[in-house]
Amino acid sequence: MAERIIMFSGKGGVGKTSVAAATALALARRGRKTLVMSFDLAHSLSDSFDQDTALFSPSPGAIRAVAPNLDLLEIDVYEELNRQWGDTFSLVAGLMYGGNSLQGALANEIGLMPGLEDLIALNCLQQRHDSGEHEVIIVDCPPTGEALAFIGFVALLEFYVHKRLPADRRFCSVIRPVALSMDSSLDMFFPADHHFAVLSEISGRLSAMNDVLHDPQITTLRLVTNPERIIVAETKRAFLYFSMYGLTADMVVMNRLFPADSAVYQKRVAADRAYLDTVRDDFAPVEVAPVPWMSEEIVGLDRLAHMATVLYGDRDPGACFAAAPAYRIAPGRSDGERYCLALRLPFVDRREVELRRIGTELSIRIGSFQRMIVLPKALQALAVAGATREADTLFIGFREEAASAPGA
Amino acid sequence: MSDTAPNTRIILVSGKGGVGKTTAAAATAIDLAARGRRTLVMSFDVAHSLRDSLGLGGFLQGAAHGAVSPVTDNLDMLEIDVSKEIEAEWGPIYRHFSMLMSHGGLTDVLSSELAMLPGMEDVSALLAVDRHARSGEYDALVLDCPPTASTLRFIGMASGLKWYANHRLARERRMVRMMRPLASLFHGEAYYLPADEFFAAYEGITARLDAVEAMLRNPEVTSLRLVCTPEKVVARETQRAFMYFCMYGVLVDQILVNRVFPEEDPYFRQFALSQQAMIADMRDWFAGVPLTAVPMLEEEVVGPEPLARFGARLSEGRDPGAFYRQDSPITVTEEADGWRFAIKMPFVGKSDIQMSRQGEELMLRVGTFKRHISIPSAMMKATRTQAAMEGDTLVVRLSEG
Repeated sequence: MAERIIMFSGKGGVGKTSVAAATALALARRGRKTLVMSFDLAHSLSDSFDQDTALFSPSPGAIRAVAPNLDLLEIDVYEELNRQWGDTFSLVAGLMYGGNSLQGALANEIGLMPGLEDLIALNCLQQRHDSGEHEVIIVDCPPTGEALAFIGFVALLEFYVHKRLPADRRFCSVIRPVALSMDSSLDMFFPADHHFAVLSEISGRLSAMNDVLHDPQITTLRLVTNPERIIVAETKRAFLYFSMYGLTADMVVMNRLFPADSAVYQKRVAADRAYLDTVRDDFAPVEVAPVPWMSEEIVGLDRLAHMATVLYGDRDPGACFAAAPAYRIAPGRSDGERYCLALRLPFVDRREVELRRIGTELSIRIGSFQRMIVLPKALQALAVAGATREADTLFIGFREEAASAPGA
Repeated sequence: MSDTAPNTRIILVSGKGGVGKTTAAAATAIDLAARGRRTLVMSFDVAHSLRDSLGLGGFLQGAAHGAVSPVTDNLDMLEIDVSKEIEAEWGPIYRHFSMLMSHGGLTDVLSSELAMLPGMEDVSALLAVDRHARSGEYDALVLDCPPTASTLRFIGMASGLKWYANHRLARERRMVRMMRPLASLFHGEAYYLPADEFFAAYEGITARLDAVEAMLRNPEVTSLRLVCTPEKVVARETQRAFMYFCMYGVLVDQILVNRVFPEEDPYFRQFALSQQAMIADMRDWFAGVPLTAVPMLEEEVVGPEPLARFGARLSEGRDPGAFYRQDSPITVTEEADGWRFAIKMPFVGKSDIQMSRQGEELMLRVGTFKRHISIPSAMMKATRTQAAMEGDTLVVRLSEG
């Protein structure tokens, strides 16, 4: 078993891959056996390490050493599909796409289905974790939206396996022989029993992996962002959603701040400095770590190592910088409350909590602290019932609004 | 589909994440509108930034969210609200999935997030393009596309869905009809066999996707502006993207190199010099495609006026609605003994390309992406397939065997 998994996510183009690669290299240079892996369809991890690979990678899916103690893996979903999945793929694809299964070879022809790659990537991560070949696994996740789908997938699969699979399995065991006696091509609608067994087995393994991902002693998430309003807005949304899925974010890397000694971009230097302060409220209690624009593109071992030094200083990049997710959604705490959003804040401030709904967002103000939260869909249709505080946690209650249509 | 081809010009703006696609799309739309073209700029991205980029404050609620809203004279914008599109376009299909999920009692707060099935978003966006291109209300559509990989995936997925519809759907629909009474008999309910309307909706969507794909691949209607920054990692992805867009038959008529550092800033001097070298390489790689370089500006480009100035830098005096280049990446010509498909595929070796012929289809795969090319029925007798690379072009000859 790997001791530590660190996942890096963020909006496209913020420098997520560079930060992941820099972190991996720093860990390897501290003597820890490290694997850095990427699930992105558009891999740029090899490019970051300046590996002179062909433009259309001829040998994908193999682990390569890039430095002492450091291995790199770019997952090719097609290769994984062909190598590992075989005919169970047809069943999974069928369950995901309309309740009827497709025959393996034919399903493969349809091409790459979104969602399926998440399953394959997760399976791959699980295998790397279980193999115990590496002490630390660094995951360069796809951009935030896709990474969330990846994290949510296990919940979807678990749901199917626990709630639906037993009934489907019984149903098929009865009806399959009858159906096949009528027409052998009905095979694809009524999967043979071993498919269900395989699916249960996969789900069991992935559930175990899910536990690993939710254990903040093992897995943490680092969000990479840039000092631009639009990018920070998406990072905040990702911060909330990853927390909802039970992942602990332990650092926000604010990449590409304009350096004070730039001659041309003084306006941006001033704007960045002011902005960094407000952004710290958005992510508290999680640390926001600043990284300036480097004076050259961050490609190759030397520049990656330099970036890691700027980011972590003397600290161990493998440390866990937070102990629990910053947000949690729980059942309501009193009558009439349907859900409550629990938010850990690092300070106790006796002042009044001001809550205000603005469209799909919720504004929270406590003294000089202010944060806007884009509410998850399930909470958007509800009304804010009020806020209470216990220790370092703020609980915001949501109740059914009398006038609003239920389940909107 | 050419009989229903609209007169609306379509400009796709794509590139690696974070290179400035949204700003480039908004600036292009502002420029077109200022020239009197009725223009709609639309964004597919889940994390919408178009509204912010245009400098429109506030929040849209209720019906206004996900609806077309006016920006300036001749310019409208649309940030697609996927859940509304899905309800409008995918009704029966969505209901089938959500029924499957709710049947087992998925009451967790996450269920409304999970009910959004992967892939639906992309296809919904394509259907919205179809609707607005055909509405006759616009002279030009400017599309702020998702990052390259997702753009490629939805184009590829559309052909995958079509493939499924053509090959399997009719037969499965018949089977399900036959099985439904039997399933009810044994289990009390046939909930996991899709309802007939599921198939009907699927077929309807597939037909429209076919039409919108034809539009996006028509070099007299659509061209793509590929945005990048002059950095090694981005440039390599841009090369790959360019090749894939050629393979998918989408005309790229401009390479936009954004965020070029000035040599005058001592801090960024080394960066600027390596960027200049990178731009020189890009001019070689993308020879024949107009390349425009734009500096890293001192302030974020937000709001109509800064966008108009930025737009002028992008178009360099040209009409942004013009085709900066006319060269279809795929051509089909008739020869004495059959047909010749020429598909431009730069930067790949023949060994990187997997090709197979299956009846009326040619399948091409490079790396992670594949494309099915339909062979017109007139060519069906030509069962012999030969392929060779001629320079950066894959030439496939079909002849009677």
